[in-house]
Amino acid sequence: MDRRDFLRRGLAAGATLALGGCAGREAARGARSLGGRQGIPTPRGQKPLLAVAAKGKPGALTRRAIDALGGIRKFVRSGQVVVIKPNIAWQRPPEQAATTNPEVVATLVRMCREAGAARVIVVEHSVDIPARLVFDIAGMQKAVDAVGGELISAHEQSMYREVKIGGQLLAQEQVIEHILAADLFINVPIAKSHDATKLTLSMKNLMGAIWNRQGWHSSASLSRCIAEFAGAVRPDLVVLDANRILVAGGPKGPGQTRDPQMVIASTDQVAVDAYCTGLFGMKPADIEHITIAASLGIGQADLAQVQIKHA
Amino acid sequence: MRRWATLAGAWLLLFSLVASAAPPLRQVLAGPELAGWPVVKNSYLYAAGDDLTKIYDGGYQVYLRAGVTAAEQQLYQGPQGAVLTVTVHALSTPQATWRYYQQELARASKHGQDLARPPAAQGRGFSYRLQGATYGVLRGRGTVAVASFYGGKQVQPAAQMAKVLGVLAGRLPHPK
Repeated sequence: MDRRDFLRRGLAAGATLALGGCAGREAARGARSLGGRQGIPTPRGQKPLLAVAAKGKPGALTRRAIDALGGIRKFVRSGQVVVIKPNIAWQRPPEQAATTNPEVVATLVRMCREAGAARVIVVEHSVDIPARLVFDIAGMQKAVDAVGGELISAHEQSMYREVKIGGQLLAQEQVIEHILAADLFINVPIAKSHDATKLTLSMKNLMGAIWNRQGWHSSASLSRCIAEFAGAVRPDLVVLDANRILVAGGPKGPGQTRDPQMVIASTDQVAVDAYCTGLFGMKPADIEHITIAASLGIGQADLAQVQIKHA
Repeated sequence: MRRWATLAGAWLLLFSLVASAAPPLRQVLAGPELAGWPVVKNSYLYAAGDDLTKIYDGGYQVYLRAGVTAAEQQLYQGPQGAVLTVTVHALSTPQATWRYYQQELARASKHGQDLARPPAAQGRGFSYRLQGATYGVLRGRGTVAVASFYGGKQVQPAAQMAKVLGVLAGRLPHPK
């Protein structure tokens, strides 16, 4: 090898390394986008903020809870696309508390529009079908239409994109594309009892964002699936409806209900779920998927480490 | 001759066993309408075993534990946005059928209002109201049907549910 060959090979190797490095970074960037959503992390050294609005009408409570977090403009920028995922799984009227209160969702849509959102999409993969009928009976269609939102049923597999989860049980999952592509993703569950997981709160509500729910039910651990998914597709904001909660007979009901008249909001989904266990006389440790999520570092389940602000 | 008699006896026994079995679920909700309510297009669901998640999602294990082996569901459209939902459950044993029915009755007695036993249900069904909806339950041989009215501008009257239970009573064989 002469000096010229050495230089040529050296340059080629350098170029390969440089390109390889770039390609690696591109791949990593691609992998991040395939990995779902990152949410809004709590700043290092700070406790997550949890807003609790109580006593009032669902719409007013929703506003108070968001205002306590700093206002909707802290989250929504002009021209953005916002996606809201309530629980509209069941063909049930709102008073049965099996679905998110439509006033909570409508208020959020209105607030996002007021903050300049270009589009506010409300999306659900309902269990009961046909979805349009489910949305009507749950009172959601009328509520969302009235405030300029778009209510979309995710019942076509083409509406989903595969996302890398990289968990122990979940390697990948097909997730509603609208959620992945949104500038802001808000999870808006209702608090209720659940036969399989004791409670369904915010993390469990994300099951309505995937195509194949049955895969989780037949897996080794439904709770682990819930936690792993919640870590990979994180909402930017959680607004939990606890105006009326289903304390028995969930998830579908009908069953016994109670009226705490509360809306709880935070960017930390684990903190929301941990707090809401108290509505049912439970502790965070009673719910397996909360414990797993906390152990995976997805959020804060220790309420002593959460800054709770009563609005 | 004795062989023929034995064969005929066995055939009769088999026939009577088949005749006493619960009807195939798909036949119970067959037809374009129920008590004058037309079917909602694409709303039919049938599921068995773990596939009951299709109807009950995470709550399906309650039904499995209660002895439900399969279920079918059909929606019907009524006036002014009202919807009638009928779910027919197939149960593993007569005891499971009885227990399931009693559980529904206990729930109606504890939480419901206006509990009634319409004559059209032939002594094996009841209706009640709960949280803005009207429900009806009917017991058949190896089956329990649960009907409910949702939506619409007003709660559907109990008389309407009695009519639905009457039609279902004609389709689900009497348990005894």
